Amino acid sequence: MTKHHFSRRTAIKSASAAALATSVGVGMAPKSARAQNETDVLIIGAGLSGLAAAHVLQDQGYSVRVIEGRDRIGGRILSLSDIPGNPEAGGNGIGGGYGRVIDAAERFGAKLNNIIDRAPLILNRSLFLDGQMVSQEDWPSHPRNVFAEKYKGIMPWSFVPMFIIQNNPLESFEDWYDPKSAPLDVSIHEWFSSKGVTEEQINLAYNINSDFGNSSYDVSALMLMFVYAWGMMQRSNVPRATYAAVGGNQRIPEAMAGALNNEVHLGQKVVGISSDATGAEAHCSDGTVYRAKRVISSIPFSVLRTMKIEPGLSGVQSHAVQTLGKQLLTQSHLVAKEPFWEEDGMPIGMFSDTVLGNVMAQHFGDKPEDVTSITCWHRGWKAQQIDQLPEEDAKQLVLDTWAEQRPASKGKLEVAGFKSWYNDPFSSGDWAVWEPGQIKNFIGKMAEPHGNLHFCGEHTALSNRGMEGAMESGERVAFEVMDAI
Amino acid sequence: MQSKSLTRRAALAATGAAVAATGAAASATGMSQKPLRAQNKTDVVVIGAGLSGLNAAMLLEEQGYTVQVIEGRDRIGGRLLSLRDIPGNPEAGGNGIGSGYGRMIDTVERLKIPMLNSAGRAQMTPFELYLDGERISAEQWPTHPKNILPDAWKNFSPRLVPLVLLSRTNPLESFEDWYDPKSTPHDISVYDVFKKEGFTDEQIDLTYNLNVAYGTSAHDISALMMWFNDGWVASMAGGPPTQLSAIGGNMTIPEMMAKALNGEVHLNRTVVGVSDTSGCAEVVCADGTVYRADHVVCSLPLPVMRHVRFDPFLPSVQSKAISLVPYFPMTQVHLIAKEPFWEDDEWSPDMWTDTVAGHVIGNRHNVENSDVTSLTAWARGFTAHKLDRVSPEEGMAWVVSEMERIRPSAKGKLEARYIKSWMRDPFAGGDYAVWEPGQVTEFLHATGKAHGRVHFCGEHTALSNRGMEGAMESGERAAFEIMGL
Repeated sequence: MTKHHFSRRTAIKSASAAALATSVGVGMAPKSARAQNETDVLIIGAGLSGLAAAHVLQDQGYSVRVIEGRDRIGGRILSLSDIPGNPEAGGNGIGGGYGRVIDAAERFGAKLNNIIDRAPLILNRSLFLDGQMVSQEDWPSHPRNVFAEKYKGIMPWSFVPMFIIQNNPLESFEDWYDPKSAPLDVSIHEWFSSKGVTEEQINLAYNINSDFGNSSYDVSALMLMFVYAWGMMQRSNVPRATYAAVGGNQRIPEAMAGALNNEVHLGQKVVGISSDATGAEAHCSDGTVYRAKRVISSIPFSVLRTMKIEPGLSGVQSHAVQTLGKQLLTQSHLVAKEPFWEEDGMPIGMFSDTVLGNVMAQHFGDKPEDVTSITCWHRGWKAQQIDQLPEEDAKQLVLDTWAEQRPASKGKLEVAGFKSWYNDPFSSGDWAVWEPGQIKNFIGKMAEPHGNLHFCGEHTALSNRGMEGAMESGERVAFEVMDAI
Repeated sequence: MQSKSLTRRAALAATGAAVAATGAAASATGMSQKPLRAQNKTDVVVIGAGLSGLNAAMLLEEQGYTVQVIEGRDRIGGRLLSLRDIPGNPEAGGNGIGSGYGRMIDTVERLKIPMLNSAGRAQMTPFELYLDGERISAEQWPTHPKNILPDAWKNFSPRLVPLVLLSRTNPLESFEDWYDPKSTPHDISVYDVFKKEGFTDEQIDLTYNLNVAYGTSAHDISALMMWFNDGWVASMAGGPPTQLSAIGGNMTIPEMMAKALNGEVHLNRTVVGVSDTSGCAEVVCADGTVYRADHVVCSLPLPVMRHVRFDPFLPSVQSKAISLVPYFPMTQVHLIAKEPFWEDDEWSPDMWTDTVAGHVIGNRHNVENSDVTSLTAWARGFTAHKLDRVSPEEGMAWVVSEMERIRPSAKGKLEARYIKSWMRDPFAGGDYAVWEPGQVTEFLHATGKAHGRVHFCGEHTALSNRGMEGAMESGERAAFEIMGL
């Protein structure tokens, strides 16, 4: 089979252009180098989805090679080991219902702690709106509280989940990808409006600090219905638990990678993927070529769209790869030199209409109440505002904004960790955001095999989200490949 | 809504917060704690010292209005940026001024700005094609194995196919029809137009998506915008082939416009809030400065307006446009050739490539338009995204290494001097508005619609012109609006 491929290449080469061999924009590696790199399956990406696929396939006796563009394992799981408590810059809480993630942690020896008792501490936060701190006690009678009477007691950050959960038209969360749900694939703005939520209320609940997407206009209501229905299921079906891996969640993919027969090749930046009659190849920027019977790409579409795929994708799949939305998310991780919150008497946590976004205290110390670090989640346009700046200026903007918002914090904070997922060339966004109309147009078709190239990654998951969705997609693609070879 | 907002302000003020009036400001940067520096009230405050804002300011002053122009950058000119440290002063922004740019030409004549005819700068030699590391000459292309174009198009360079195809299919009787509601059926994607003409996805990838001219892919660009562009360019083409450039760079034009104003432009004033709730309009800056006026002219590009709090909120359709209309990803690397390497291999310095160097143009900015004074690598769309995700130094090195790879004679002879990403520029957020399918119909009129005392200009609000002339047109329209004409 392989021979056939080589002779085709040779034929083409002798036919005319010597440069054809560089069909994906880099020099073709010599044959000997390529032969070493041949396995049954090649997996691009050593995040959860790729590693999950690798283990299923390896268990079934397939030879598997995982390659990774970054110089580390873990993809969008990134634990900051230099910061007290090892806070997460990526994949965060592991819910009690994350069966596949918990199973992988147990199987490969990453120890999990149940941190559910710390959740209430994390949720203790004030509203920062129009230049003022508003406590949860003051909010119900605050002049800016434009919610309808029955929602006056709800903080703006709770309105969206509560309203969607109470009015969710999906019978089962999995209905989100059923064609019958297509009429719900409109913007959350449009759906809120149809339910009588006013412009002012939508602005307050969604647009001043959005959780998903950039604004209420660019996120599908159907995506959010799935997200919150899935979250409810997670909370209701199992004993209440939120797990965190000891030393950081990144220890889970690291343990998974360590248990593979073939070591993960790091720093292999894929620039192109080609599929032919007998197999598929990934071409890397250093000229290395990996060949396999099947190639699995776990690359987010926001990155895949900058790569060359031969033959090219077409139709819905090409449309999806080029346009699927992505979450802008940047995190600043701060360490406090002194507990300034004792000075100003306010909770550390804030839901802010400023660039700070969503501020949460991390409680990863020995005692739950110990504050180990503080995380600012800058999402959507807030992330954009930060991402446009050089990193040092961005950190300074964060500190300046803190000092103005919480004068007691002035001089007492330092930015110990900083991560822009949008400016990361290996992710270009944190997770897939389904824009209005994209679910009905893309789902079910966008991740179909393309010749000998298969797709996984959280953006291809149907029944789960986040880390568990990534695991689900890896499992699905492994079965797909096993059926095919 | 307005009266409610006034009540809210009154309530806030009564609680003792003297700075409540800057609620708008605080929303974006948390500046409320800073003492405010109120400036004298003028008739009009113009936000943005680019062409559109300056044109509005000049026209208003001529009619006796008192005007204050404020600008977030530390320089005049907005998206006009002439690189004065590079031989020939190449432009990183607004480029050639066509003979039909009536308002521009009128302005340079009135201000006696020295100009030269630069028509000869463009395309002294044919653009050569570089695919997969191979140079393909114009003679080779029609029969080259990589030429997958339909038979009727085999003789066309891929970069010309979209222009010719869109020109041939242009359904607009007059280019100005693009903003007429009757053109709604034409507000479809360029992809759809290609498909109707029988092109395959592979052919669309080669001709449109590989080295995109507008947008990021054929899926996300409205054919109606392109048809308007086509008709408008054709309308400009009448008369002698004249193209003007200001001696020393086009940035001289806005600089001279600013000088011609009665007062000085205030630089380094990043606007964070615009409110119209207290009998006059207020513009609040990040440094705490507040400008008051009867009218505000806001020339900010849509991505920048994402970070400005409008009080009262803008109408939904305008907020939606601000959130959804994409701006063109464009990053330029400006290079110097230490030796004329194109004399060694006798190929054109101008290259159309599938690398991160994108579209390379030899700038002939000497008086005779004959010698190459510098080179500009234009990365657009997804190619710009790639450069935007690495550091400026890495981006410049990457472009040099790719040019050296595909053009061996250039090895060691290129020096990258400057990189400009318009996406990562916090005062631009992209080069210009690119309308997605459906957005011309939904948003074009809305983006220029006045909101109380706040008027909008900028190229994204222009109806009958594009680029620099569109900016001038929009400034004129905003000025006339204020004059009640």
